[in-house]
This record gives sequence, C-alpha cells and structure tokens, in this order.
Amino acid sequence: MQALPFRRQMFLLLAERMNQERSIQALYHILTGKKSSQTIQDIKWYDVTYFFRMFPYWKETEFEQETKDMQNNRYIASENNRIIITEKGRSQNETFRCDYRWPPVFNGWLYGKSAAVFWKRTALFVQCLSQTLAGNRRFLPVFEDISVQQWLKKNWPRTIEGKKQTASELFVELRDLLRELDDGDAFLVMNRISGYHLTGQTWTQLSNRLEMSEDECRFRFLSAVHYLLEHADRSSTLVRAASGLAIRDILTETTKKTLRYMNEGHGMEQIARARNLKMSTIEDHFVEIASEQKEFPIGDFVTEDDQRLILHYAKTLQTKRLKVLKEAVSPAEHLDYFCIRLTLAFYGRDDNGQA
Amino acid sequence: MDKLKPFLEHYFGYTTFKDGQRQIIEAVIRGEDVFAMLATGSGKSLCYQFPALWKNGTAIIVSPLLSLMENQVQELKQAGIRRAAAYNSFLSPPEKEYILRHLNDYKIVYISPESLQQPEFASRLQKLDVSLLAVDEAHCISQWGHEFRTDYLRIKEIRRMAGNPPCIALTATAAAEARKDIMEKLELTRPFIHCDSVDRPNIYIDVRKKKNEEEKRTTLQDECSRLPLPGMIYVSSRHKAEELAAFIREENGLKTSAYHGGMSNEDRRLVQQQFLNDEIDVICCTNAFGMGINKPNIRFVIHYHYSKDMESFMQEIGRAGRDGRQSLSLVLFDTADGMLPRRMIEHEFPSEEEVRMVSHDPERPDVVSSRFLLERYGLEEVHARFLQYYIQTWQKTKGAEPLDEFVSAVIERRMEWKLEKLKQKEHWLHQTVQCRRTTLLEVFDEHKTSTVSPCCDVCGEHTMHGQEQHRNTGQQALSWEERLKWILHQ
Repeated sequence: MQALPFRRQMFLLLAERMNQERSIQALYHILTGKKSSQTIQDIKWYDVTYFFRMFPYWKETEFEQETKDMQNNRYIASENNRIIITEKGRSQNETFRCDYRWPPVFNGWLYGKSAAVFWKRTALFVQCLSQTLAGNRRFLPVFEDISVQQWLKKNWPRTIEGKKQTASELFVELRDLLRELDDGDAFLVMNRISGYHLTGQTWTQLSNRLEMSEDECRFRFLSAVHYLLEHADRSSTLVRAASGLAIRDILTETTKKTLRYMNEGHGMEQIARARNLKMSTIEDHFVEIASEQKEFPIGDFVTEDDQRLILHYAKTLQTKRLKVLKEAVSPAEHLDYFCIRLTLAFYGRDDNGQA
Repeated sequence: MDKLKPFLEHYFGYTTFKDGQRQIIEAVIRGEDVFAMLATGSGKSLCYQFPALWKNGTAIIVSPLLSLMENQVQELKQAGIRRAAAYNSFLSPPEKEYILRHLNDYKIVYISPESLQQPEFASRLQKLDVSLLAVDEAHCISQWGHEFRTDYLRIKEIRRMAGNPPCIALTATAAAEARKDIMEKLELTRPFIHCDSVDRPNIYIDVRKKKNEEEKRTTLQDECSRLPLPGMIYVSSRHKAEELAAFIREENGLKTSAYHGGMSNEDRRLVQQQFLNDEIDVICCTNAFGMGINKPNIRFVIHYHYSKDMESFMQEIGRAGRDGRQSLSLVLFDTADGMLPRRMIEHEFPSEEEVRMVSHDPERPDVVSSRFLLERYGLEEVHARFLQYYIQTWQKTKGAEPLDEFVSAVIERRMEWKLEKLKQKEHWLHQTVQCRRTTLLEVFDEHKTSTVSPCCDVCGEHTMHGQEQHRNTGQQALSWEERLKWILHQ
C-alpha cells in the first residue's frame, strides 16, 4: 500500500472518526481550527480534540482539490453531504497506525493559539540569551511582535551573572525535557531555534534534511512545543513563557455575553430580544455552555428521564446524528432538536461509547 | 570648532564622515532641500538620521521597506536613541494610537507611504513641528523610475500640510530623466545635489548568450563550482528559485536556499539571517530579496533571468563586492527569456477587462478607496492602488473622456515606456562589440573615467576562477544536544 501525503493521511484518520456523521467541510473546520460553536461541539462529541488546528495553514481551495482526489481514488465517499470512509480507506489507516509513533501530546484545542505565543517567547529568549552571552548585540530578532518583545523585557535577566545562570539552568531543563521526546522531534525543536552563529532552519530545509514532508515536520514540531508547554512548570524560564496565556479560550466571545445574561436570570427568549439575535443562535450558545460547564442547569431544560432516553439511544444507535436520534425518541414529542443537542453536549465525550 | 564630529561619535559611534555625507548633512541642517543619489551601503540613512537628531522637532522618514524601518528603529534604540518609532500597517490599532498621541515626543518617525495617506496621521501632522521630511527610495515617485508607486505622488501634498519642511530625497539608482522628475514631483527648491557614480569598478561584468535552458543550467552549475562564494542567483519566478536551489544543492553539494515572496515571514527572516551569517553558499531568489540587505562579502550575482531594465540590474549587481574586493556579475540568457520580463510588465497593470469592469459599474461610488476596489472587483493590491489613483486624477479632468479610455491610455503609455526600457536592456545584452561598462554607464549619463581591469567580457578575462571557493563547512551536522549546548554556551 502506498503512503499518502501526511495531511491527507491525517484527514483520513479523522474521516474514520466522523464516518457517516458529518460533511467533508466539517472536517476542514476541525483541521484548520475554526472557532465556531458547531466545530467546537464536533470535536468534543467525537472526541477528536487532538485533530483541532493541526493544519491551520491548509488553504480551502487546496483542501477541496485534495479531498476530491481522495474521493476519486476511493479512500472516501460522500453521501447526502456526509463523509463515508471506504474499506480501502480503513485499511490505509490500519497500515498507517501500525508503524506510526504518535507524539506523546498534540492538542490543538487546548494549546493551539497559546503554543504559538509560547514558542515565540521561548525562541526569542533563547536567541537573545545566546547572542548576548557571545557579546553580539547586532542581530536580527527572530520575532518582532511588540507584545512578545515586551514580555522579553519584563523577563530579561539584568545582570551578566543572572544571564549565565539562566543559560545553564535552561540548558539542563530543555535537555531533560527534549530527551523525553523522539530524537527527531527534539531535532526539529532545536533546529527551529536561532542562536549565536547558528540560524534556525526553514521548513523546506528541515524537510530535506529529515526526508519528511513539511506538513509532518510542522506537526511533529508543534506537538513537541505542546509537550514543552504542558511541562512548562519544570523550567523557570518556560513557566514564564507560558504565563498569562489562556490555555484555552473556553467559550466564544458572543457566548460569553449570553452566559452573562443567563447568570443574571434571563430566559432564552429574553436574551434573544435583548441581544437582538435569533433564537437558534441563542440555542447554539446554550449548547456551547452546556458542553463546557458541569454546573449547567440541564434539568431546567430536559428532565432526567428524557436525558436518560436520549443517552440510551445515542449509545445503542452509535450515533450523534440529530435526525436519527430525533426519530428514535419521537414518541416523546416534546423532545426537540435543542433538547437532544443540549443533552449530548452536557454529557460530552464521557459516555459517547466510541473511544 | 567642528561640532558635528563629536555629535557623530556620540550618537553613531563613527569618528569620520564618509564621502559626501558631510556636505549633505550640512545642507540639511542649513534647511536646504537635498537630492542625493548614494550607493547602497554608503551610509544613506545617516544623511537624515543625523540632522533628525540635531534639529528641533520631529523628522518624518518615508520608506517603503517595512522590515528596513523596523531594523533602523531597533538600531537607533540599541544606540541609545529611544525616541524613534516606525508607523506602519504591522502595528495594532492601540499601538498606532499610542504613537499618534505621542508624535511630538519622537525625534524620528518612519512611515510607509500608504500610512502617510491615512487621514488620522495627516491631521496630526498639521500640529506637528516637522524638522525635515526624508523620502527614501525616492525613485518610486517618478514614472520614469524603475519602480513607480502612486502613493509616493501624494508626498508633496503631505509636505505642504506639514508647513513645507526641508525635504531630502534619497535613492540608490535613478537615471537622468528620473532624477529630474523626482526633484520636480517633490517640489524641491534649488536643492543641493549630490550624485555618487553608479560605477562599481570591482565588479567584473559578464554576459553570455546560450542556446537554450539546458546550456544555461550547465553553465550555471559550472560557474557555481568555480567561482568564490557566497553568491546570489536571480530568477523571475518562485518556482524557478526553488528548482535551482535544489539543483545546485544536489549537483554541486553546496548549501543553498531559495528566497521569494511565497515563503512565510518567519522563513524569509531565517534564510536572510543564514545568508548574512555565511551559513548559505548560494541563495536563489526573486527580486523580493535584497532590499535593505547589506552583506559585504557577496562574490557573485548571476542573473539566470534578466531584469526588466538597467536600473534594476544596476541595483541587483550592486549587492556584490560591497567590501571592495573583486566580484562578478554574470547574465545568462537565451532567446526565449524575453517572454518573462514582458509578462511581468504586463502584470504590473490591471487588465483591460478589469478596467472596463470598474469603469462601467453603475454602483461605483464617486470616491473609491483601494480597499473597495480590492474587495468589490477582486483586484490585486498594486492594481487597486494604481486604479484608485488614476480614478482620482481622471475626476480632476472633469471626465472629458470616459474613464476606461482615460485609464487605458495611461496604461498604454506606461507600458510602452517600460518596453522601451526593456529593449534598451536587451540591446545592451545582445551587443558584443562595445565595453559593457561604458555602455552601462551611458544610461546614467556617466562616462568611464579610469581604466578598469578586469572590466568585462568584451574587454578581457577575469581571474576569479583560480581563487579558493570558501565552501561552507558549517555546523550543520550537529546533533540536537550539541546544538543546544552551543546555543546556550555550555
């Protein structure tokens, strides 16, 4: 069996998880990390947070072309606007899984945005330390974002002794952390860093060196950064690079507003009127809140019996598809789509039974 | 007593002025307008930085190179001059607002020509004590310059709004007609003029016609194995830059990299830094590379595709041999190569179709912004700005002729002129009888004054093939732990 280009392989793995449930487009939003209520619910329901924001740079036109190719080659199909993985696709995945070492952590949902800032701070800190200790003051900083430079100023060791000490501590800390990763992943991290007389390598250069596609290089690198971020508390420099970063923006901005109204005791219709939004939008917000907050008063919306009924069907029918579930629970006429979505969101992935 | 020298040493760390710098600076301090054509790397920026610090008020520096202004601000800050800022589209709204509110506190403010047009900046300018207005890359203001940016044409309005501060126009390369045009467009009054010779006697000029691409590649590979390093190869497409970088890497075993506008900012910075650090032997680039880069030891510049006019060519080969040592420029071309610059020239302007679409849109408002053109008609940014400017110009003519005819006529004139410049360049390439240097200098109204040896392929041979190549041995083979050790000095 022929290996697929890395991003297509990742897409295919995700397709298997979403089989017959979602459109091809929905997968695009997950892989590029779109922050919409729908996508956020998807990654939780299907337990695929580790695919979120894997390829934020994937262009939509490319994606369309590449997935069309995959349909033509019969890895996937699409029916009623839902993705279907073929037998060929499944066995392709099987082969891939057999000899692929998945990195210890990759979680674009938790770390996606903050990892980028964390990395910029870390790389700039190391570069400046390396150059300054070599007595070189004229160099091109790898990042020029004003916010990152301000962070650096605040955290910059003032004295030469402080710099030397930081360097030797950071050396041990980074070495120990990176040793816990595959050699190739540690190599990627160190070769993206610039220092005195050693400049970081571009993705093309690394791809040539490691004979690995650029997509995979970037994925492995990012996963290593996620690892460093997850273990930042083991290094005094890294923990400062991670400070103040919201590890996860739990709710979208607009949902936060709705939540404030909700906490003040307003009902859904009131909120819709006050915010001049459609009811369906407010419903989306409530579903998002239900998926995030364990203290969400779900009982106010769906009785316990009904919750149990919905979860029962979700489990036995092995689906999260609303239409199917709606039909299954249809004898209970008062149960609308909103009740079903709310319940599924609230219980999230804990009992989705398809790990 | 000479007060300038202690000032120079204190703020810039130099003990002497370079050729011409002193006269230019003195003229600016006296409040005269100045036109200066200075070779890159000859201390152009000092000509406005020095007077900016010397005089009362705030100096406004117009520069199209965003990265260059960031660098200069950083350098000034490193030198202890903290009251410097760069105002451009990279900034976030609060950052912009901060600079605008504190404009008076800065000694030097760099600004891009686009940002200069923004009403919020222009309105603050009226209340500001502007010590001088410097226009870098001033050839962009001229239709007869090798790059023309309509944003530049509005600088003179801004100058009037700021109360006509003294103006200094700087460029590295402008032919005679462009120079005259720059001074007119900026309304310089009896300016002090300084022009360096464009000649670079330490650069040997070689031109070779090849039968086809295959022969060009063979020659390229051969030259890269014999010429001293590091060097640059100019091509006109991103794809070719990548292709040749791979070719030279595989065939010659050299450290190479491509550089072009299609790469991410971060990667571009890395490649630039690698090249400056001598970690790359040969860089294969489009003309996106080079602006504001000052690397002294480039030994050769090879044009695998030739540039569209003599000025661009001059600027590009001028990146070689800044350290004064023997260097070389080589153009390789075949008869099919003429297609590329022609296509590029065509692409500089909106298409006939686009012009018609904009002209005949009944819903087009009277005042159009380039953003509007960009979004409504899907135009490219340069095209949108071009059109926006000429729609405005057309409105001033009270619409005597239809908009599309007006714009098409402008485009036709511009295109014809550009093709003339291209033909001039091609004529220079094809002739094999007259000295290349002599004919090159004629374009800039200069004469070859001294005998240069080695001079060019017409005059005689060069001796660079015998020199040591200085291949990069680099620290590329380091393991990640060794690399970490080195970087953190352990």
